[in-house]
Amino acid sequence: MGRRAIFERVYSEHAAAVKAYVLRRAPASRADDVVSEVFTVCWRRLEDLPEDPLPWLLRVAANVLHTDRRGEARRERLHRRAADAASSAPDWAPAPRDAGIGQALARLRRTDRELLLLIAWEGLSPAQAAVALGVRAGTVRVRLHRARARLRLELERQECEESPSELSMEGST
Amino acid sequence: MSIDVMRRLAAANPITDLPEVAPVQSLGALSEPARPAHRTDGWRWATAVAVLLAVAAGGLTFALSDGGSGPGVDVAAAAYAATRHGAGVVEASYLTRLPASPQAEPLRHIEWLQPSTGARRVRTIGTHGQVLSELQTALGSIEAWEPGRGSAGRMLIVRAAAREGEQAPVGGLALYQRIYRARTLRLRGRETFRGHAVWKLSGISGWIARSAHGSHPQPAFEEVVLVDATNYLPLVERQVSLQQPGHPVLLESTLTGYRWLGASTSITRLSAQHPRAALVANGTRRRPRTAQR
Repeated sequence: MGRRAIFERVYSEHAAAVKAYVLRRAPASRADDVVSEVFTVCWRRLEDLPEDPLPWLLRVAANVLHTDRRGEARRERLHRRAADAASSAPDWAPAPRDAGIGQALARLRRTDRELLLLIAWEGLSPAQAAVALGVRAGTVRVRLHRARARLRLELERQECEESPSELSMEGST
Repeated sequence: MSIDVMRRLAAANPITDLPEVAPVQSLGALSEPARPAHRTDGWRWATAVAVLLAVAAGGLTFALSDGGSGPGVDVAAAAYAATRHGAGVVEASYLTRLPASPQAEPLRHIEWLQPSTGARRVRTIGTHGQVLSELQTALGSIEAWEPGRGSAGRMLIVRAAAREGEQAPVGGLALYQRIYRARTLRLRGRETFRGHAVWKLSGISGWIARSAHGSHPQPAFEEVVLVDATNYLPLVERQVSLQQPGHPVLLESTLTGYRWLGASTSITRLSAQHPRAALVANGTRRRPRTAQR
């Protein structure tokens, strides 16, 4: 199979998943650019592509997004900080369908949040997530256990805050 | 309490269906690694267009650089050009604060501008994300809408009374454009705003017809504008009172987002969007109308 054919197969099988990954983390207007850049890297490093390319592609996408934000979107970061001053806006583009989950995720560390989303939203296995994050599988298992516990804790905290005990109205008439 | 957090997290996925992607044939340039990847970055494009428009529009836009610290371009004109597109709709988001009233919560605004028709719509959003009101101005009409409890809301329509400029915007891109057209803006220098380089402009935006001791008009308000040194968008607009002691900042709006929605987009009339809203005109409540022409 020629180089071009390999690339086209990888693109046809994974481009949509890469774009979905980007759409969950960046404005839709940037998605096509980022996907294009990811597959440019893929084309150039086709020889390095692992047998299971999706986690590798998502890692490249994460790096492209990171570079994109750091190098080209200084102004967006500035605006986000201004917006954050008024509201704790999350750092992914579309809001999760569950507002409680969105708030809980926003309180997690970035590394914990990324790991949970790779598994719950991108559908990766822990081993694949390890490739996507560039860490060892054992490390991911430990982090995943910890991240799940933190997310559960945040959700339980929300439930406690939403059902406060009755306020005493003594002295009121 | 036992929560299946991963199941709940998976159900919150905002993108459940795989999106469409460009056909692989569109990536033909990939076969030539030395060729730079094609990019359609909106910001870069907007900045390039802004600078080009500034050059074309002003005639005097390129000024002599005063040593190494000068901007090299007419910052006010470049910022004006950056806020405008010839076709389609531009969307801007900004926060408005009243520094003189620290207890007042900041309001979020989303502003849409359609230069080809002169239409402008502003949505005001409260601190809890609720829409408080929408205002739309265009040549010959003003429409205002506010949501109602469990109803389609209320609509105020004023016709044949609004010309461009009669509705003074309180912030955002339209305010900057209005100040620029008044031709009072002057470059005051370079500053750092939250760690980023900005150009500072200011100009008189309001006058009092007669002073207490004479007949000459006196400046009442000054607008201070901080323009991003990278993309020339007006990041911050401050309205300063020149009549009060200490020249306090009365209102400050900070741009938090900006994008071009495309050449084929247009602003829908508020009355067409909310046809069942109760119509209120001149304080008189009338039966709801289904269309306003």
